[in-house]
Amino acid sequence: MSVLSIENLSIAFPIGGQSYKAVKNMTLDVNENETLCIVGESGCGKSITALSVLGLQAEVAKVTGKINFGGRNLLELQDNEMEKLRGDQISMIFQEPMTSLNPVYTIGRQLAEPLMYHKGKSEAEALREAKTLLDLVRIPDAAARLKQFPHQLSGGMRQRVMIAMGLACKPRVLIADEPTTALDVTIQAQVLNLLISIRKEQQFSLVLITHDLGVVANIADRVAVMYAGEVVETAPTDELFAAPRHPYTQALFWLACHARIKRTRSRPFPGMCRQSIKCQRDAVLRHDAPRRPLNAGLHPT
Amino acid sequence: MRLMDVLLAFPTLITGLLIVAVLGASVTNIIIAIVTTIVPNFARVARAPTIALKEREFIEAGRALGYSDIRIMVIHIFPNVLGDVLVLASLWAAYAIRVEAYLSFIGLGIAPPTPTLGGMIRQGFDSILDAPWVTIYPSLVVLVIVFSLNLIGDGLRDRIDPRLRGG
Repeated sequence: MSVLSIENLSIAFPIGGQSYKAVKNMTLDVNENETLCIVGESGCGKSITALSVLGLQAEVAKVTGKINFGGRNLLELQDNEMEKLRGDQISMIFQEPMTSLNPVYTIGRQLAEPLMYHKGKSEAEALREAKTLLDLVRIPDAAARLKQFPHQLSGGMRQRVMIAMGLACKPRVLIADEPTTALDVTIQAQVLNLLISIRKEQQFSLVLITHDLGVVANIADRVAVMYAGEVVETAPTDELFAAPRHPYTQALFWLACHARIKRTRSRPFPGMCRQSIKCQRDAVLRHDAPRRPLNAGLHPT
Repeated sequence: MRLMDVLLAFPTLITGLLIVAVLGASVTNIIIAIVTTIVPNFARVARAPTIALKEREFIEAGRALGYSDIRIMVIHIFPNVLGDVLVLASLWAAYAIRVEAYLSFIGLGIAPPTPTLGGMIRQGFDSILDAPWVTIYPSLVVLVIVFSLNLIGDGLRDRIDPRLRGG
């Protein structure tokens, strides 16, 4: 059962009078209670897709297609309807935990806010719930932490608080946009393990955007590989890791495995940066950008 | 904002003079004059951090949690700007007292039966050689008020900013 389904989503930006598509005809389903990883290189359209699901994309972006959630097309909703949905039904956590919390409020106040705002809880009730949320993300000494300000917490702690805030209203979908990129490696592992275990305890779908294949192997039920604004391959994790079909996915795995083990020179994927409008122009000028058919190896989904 | 910039372009005293001259000298008009001349400074000072804050991740995180624009402005941006504005307010409150003193000093202030600091200094000025204290004491009061307000501003800032509040 899919809880969120993206159909034919295109996102276009006007650049220099021309409309440039950052995401092209993307179709992707997020199933109930699964962990879906979206992988792909920088600029391939992962983050903008996630933002557009919440209606948070830049105003100049032109979004077409359908994003179905709870029987409604999110792209047709009014702003205030979207606001009710965000944080309540669909939440998102971001890359940068150091600045994602408001410096003038205590952790408790910030954790309680979505509960008071979306669920109409009283402050006392919301604060009590905030404490259980901190327990959920395994922050020790929750009662004391509630009274602290963000600057008194470490990066890993803050990201845990962000996760707690995202999960406060028990959303059906949690989108995490590279939640561990800004953390150091040991903390990354902690936060990921935390996400895995909370995912198992609670009922929600996790959409994890990342470019770390190690993370994918550990955490994902299914993987969607994005390249140049398109989903080029979607498959259950085991299947994908056993037999990547698309040349881009193959190149990605080759890099992740061989290049690390044998310390050989990395083998760049031909036509690597053709999603960039500048590179497109350069390539046209030089006539030498190698291209591969994008639909070379789609898994049946 | 452009209107504020236009207002900011006029020197305080000249705008103040103009307003009082046109509207006449009364308590209300003096207040209008002082407010009109000082508010643009606040708009300027509040604008810069607001623009910077708008781009901060916690505002985007707030939007991702479904908070409305008004809520983000009032609950999330305003308290962050408040520290800067309050410090400025304490400085400008002192300045407002001085503006009143200026205006009264040149005779455009509040009419004599109502006592004002500027008016008192002006009155004493006529007899400054015989009885200097008539001018000196109100002047000292202005000095003390201005100084205290500055200290209060500093104190407020330290109290408001949680980073300076100490663990």
